[in-house]
Amino acid sequence: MAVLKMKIRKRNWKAGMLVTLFILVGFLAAYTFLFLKHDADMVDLNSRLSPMSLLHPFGTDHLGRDVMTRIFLGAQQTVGYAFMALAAAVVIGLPIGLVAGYKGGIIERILMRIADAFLAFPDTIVAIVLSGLMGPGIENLLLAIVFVKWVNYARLIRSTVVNERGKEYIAMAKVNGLSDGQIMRKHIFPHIIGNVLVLASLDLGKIILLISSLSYIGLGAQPPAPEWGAMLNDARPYFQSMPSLMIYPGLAIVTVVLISNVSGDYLRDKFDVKKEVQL
Amino acid sequence: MEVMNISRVTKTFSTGRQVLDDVSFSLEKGQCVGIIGESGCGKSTLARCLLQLEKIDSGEISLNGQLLQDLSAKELKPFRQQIQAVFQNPSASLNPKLKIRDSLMDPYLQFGSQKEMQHFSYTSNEQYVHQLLQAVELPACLADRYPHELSGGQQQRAAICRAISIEPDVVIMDEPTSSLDVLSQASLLKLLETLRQQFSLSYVFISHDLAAVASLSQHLLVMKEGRMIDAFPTEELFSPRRHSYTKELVSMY
Repeated sequence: MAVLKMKIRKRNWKAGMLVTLFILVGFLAAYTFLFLKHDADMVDLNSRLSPMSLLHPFGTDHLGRDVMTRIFLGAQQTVGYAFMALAAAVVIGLPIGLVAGYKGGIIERILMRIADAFLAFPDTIVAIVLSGLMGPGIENLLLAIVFVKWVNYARLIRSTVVNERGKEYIAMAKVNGLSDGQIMRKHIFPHIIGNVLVLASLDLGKIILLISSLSYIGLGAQPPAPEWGAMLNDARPYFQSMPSLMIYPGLAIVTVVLISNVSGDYLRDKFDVKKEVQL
Repeated sequence: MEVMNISRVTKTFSTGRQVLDDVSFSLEKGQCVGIIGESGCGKSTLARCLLQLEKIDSGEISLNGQLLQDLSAKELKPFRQQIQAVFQNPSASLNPKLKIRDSLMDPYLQFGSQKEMQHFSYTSNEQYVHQLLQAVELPACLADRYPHELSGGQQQRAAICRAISIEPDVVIMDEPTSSLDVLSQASLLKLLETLRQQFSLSYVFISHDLAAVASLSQHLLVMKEGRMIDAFPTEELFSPRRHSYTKELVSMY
């Protein structure tokens, strides 16, 4: 009984933290966009580097732009781009993993050796090299991220499918005349979806870090885009006189990565049918 | 009337091991043929070959007069509704991520529209699934459970009612009772016998458990190293004319 209560409290802790964070961010966003209505790109050199006030809750940067507005618009950029990269990686990895896992044999070997080749390079290095080769810019950065991330999904999906394909319920589905497509949809897909969502929500944090860190060194988003990594880069010269300029984008990155990791954990609990019943 | 005829079937694995060597038998309507043999004698491979999950090297498998072994997956599909299966491991034969209800609907969704059924009727998924569960003496509330919430015996019953759900002619059973305790085994065997009479099913019952096979079958076949070494009506199990290997099996009980 005590164990049961503890488990429930632990699960609710994650969900509770997520909800609290979302409400907090929602309020701040509402204050910024409904009440203050600053223009994120409007340069106002008269009020540059001003400290926090009601008009500029997070102060202004070296060009007099409102930091809070830029942080929120940056969420759109950083998180939005991360989602796009993630979706593309899953869309590429899913069919490859499914086919490799289900068909087996020579097709599997070819697809997985290709995947291994991609996996042999550490993702940060590949992203840097690719965006270095193709020139800086957020599109090239995203391309590079998709290029290194799809392998994870293909491999995860393949290993799940390989685990399941020899089981007797798949043989029964064949006896019942289900086509390969139907078997994948009805019998294999439910096994994949949970794993992929968990990996994706954990990956989201990593991708955001990657986008921000490459933008920080100037390979990703270009000014004046309010991307968090780029904002950190802009704030570098003022680190000693105005450290808050670096703290706010940094906090934003930490928060989003944290949300992504906690929700990954939460989803893992959620998709584990067996565990849920034990509670 | 003969529903299934297997003649001179051979199969060799890609490793070079011959698992089936000249296997022949026939199955009469409403009868049960029992196949006994020790582990690794090719029983399960035979089951998979009968179900066309694996291709045979040579020989013939016919079902209601139709030769099956050379058909493509597409041509085979209409004949799939006449042959069903129950496997050994009940927890693996139901998809752990699907509710029992969804697993049970598989055969009907594929074949229900083409098949005239005598015992089951379909008005809604709900009513149909309840009928199936009732036929194997399971409570209707199990339909909304996941397989791991059922006991081994219940899982096996669910697998059996899926197998009979479209009233097939033949059910291939590969060690259906082996992973159950003695009491569940006995009640399952009784259920199988009832179902056989009720739906005039023909069984191919494969097991290493001589007592289980003998209690259900009219004909017994003894397999050893991929070969049929003995075949006889069940009454003659204790006859002195039996093969020495059969006598050895009998003496172990």
